[in-house]
Amino acid sequence: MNLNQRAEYLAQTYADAILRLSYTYLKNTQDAQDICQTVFVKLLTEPRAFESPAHERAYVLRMAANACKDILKSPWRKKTCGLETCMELPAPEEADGSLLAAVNSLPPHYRAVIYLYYYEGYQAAEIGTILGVPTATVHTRLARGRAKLRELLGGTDDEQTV
Amino acid sequence: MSKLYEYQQDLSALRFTPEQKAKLAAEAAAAAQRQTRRTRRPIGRTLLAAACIAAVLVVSAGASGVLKTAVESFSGIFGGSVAQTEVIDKIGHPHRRQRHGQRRHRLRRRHHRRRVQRRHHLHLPPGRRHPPVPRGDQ
Repeated sequence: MNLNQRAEYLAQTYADAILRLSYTYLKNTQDAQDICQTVFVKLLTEPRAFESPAHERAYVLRMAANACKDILKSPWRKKTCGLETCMELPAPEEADGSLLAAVNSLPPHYRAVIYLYYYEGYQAAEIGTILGVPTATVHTRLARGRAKLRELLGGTDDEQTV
Repeated sequence: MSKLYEYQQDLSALRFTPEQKAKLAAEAAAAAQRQTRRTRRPIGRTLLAAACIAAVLVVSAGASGVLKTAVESFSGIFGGSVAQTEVIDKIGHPHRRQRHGQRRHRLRRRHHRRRVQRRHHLHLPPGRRHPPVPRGDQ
């Protein structure tokens, strides 16, 4: 498989997953696209063998999560604010009332765990492997995230669904 | 419709179009190719650049007087020219070492002269350092 074919395969297989995970972290589709590009370039320049497609997927998601964390902690991002972001800014998310808006109001580590658990369908242990945290931490984040969502969305009937 | 389903639907709507995916793949492949090309360093060009930098450094250092001349550099290996001398009392003395020796010699002479004077003053015979102690019965 040459470079172009490999890039094509990566884009078809993982682009959407990386985009969603990055959006979950960064709440910004432009940055999420940059993360896609970064991850693909790394995968293409440093090729490695994987045991299975599931292993490859977990590895790719971990790369994306790490790239998002790098962006989140970079001083440039902390000090500056893109023009689009400033213009997009805050329609209050409580008024929106959707679960996505409520999830987006949580801290990034809760958002990532909730996304991987409820959207990607990973188990807590797998999420721990992907994010590089203990399984117990994943459980804690899930529980706290749910509690916060319950507060934000109001009511107890959401407990069954979220 | 449950909230979870809404959440999944919202996230599913966030996706690349096939054209965007193709563009993303092409850009990533091009960027990866640029990076791999950059990592392969041309040895000949690197050596040439290193030689140029070294030449520039040597020339500029020589011009600014930081470097010693070739004679000074190799004198330690091949034996340099005769040490520079200055004429004192029509005798050529090498610059530094002899000056120190000369001073020591002068001091030695001065001490000797004072010893002789003291001995003469105290009426000491040669080889005696102190005057004889006067005895009580004498």
